[in-house]
Amino acid sequence: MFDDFVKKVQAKFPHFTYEIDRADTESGNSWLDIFAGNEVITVEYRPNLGFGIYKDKSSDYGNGPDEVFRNENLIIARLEAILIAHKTDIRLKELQEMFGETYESSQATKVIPHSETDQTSQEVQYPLEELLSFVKSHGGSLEIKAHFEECDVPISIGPSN
Amino acid sequence: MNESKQKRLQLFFSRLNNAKPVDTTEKVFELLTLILNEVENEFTNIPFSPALWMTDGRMYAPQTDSIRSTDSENIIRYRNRSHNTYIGKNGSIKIVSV
Repeated sequence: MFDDFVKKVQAKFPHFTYEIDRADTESGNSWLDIFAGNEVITVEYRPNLGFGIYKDKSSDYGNGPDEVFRNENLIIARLEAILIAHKTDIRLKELQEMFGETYESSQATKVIPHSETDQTSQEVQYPLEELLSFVKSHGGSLEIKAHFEECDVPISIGPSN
Repeated sequence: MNESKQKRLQLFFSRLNNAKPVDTTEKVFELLTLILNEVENEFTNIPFSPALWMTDGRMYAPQTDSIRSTDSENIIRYRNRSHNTYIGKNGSIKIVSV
């Protein structure tokens, strides 16, 4: 499984260099370091848990991965987004792209006219950006993580990078 | 309030450096686990949930499935994201950036 994955990644991104650290045992974890210019993306594979992507070099000793995937096609698509399109953060748009949806079509179906919301719910509905701004202004941090059957990914809600 | 991972990592290395030496592989592993858990318990409010290690943001000690053999039968290697941890049968420990 890991070797197949590595072959697919190397075939898709032939211009990067790779370091492979295979497990000693069948149930052990294996590592793939992808060197893309100054950027290093590491993928950990655990047979029972799937693939983890480590994006942040400073995410250090004993840290878990930034994103987890249990679907090989999904992680390869995500690697393409990170390595080629440099979309390191996942916002709604990237999330929809991962699942094969277009941002525009989803936007069109998700708009709810204000008149349809009742007074009570309007009082508690505000943009996530506003919530983020409030939390940041009070010295806090806000993290949102989406859990799907095939992946666990943090969602960015601040300004795009 | 959680301390940053960078700060917690510094505390971990500092405490590991100041710990009393041990003399077996097993004791080194116990020491690593003890100190890392102490730091995480003191400086985060993330509960110890090894099953959630991939997603909960807490730092965990090397897992047994990370063990690799080395050229020396006296040394084993644990691979982390950006480190290799070498542990000797004599209780020595060396953490090297990948």
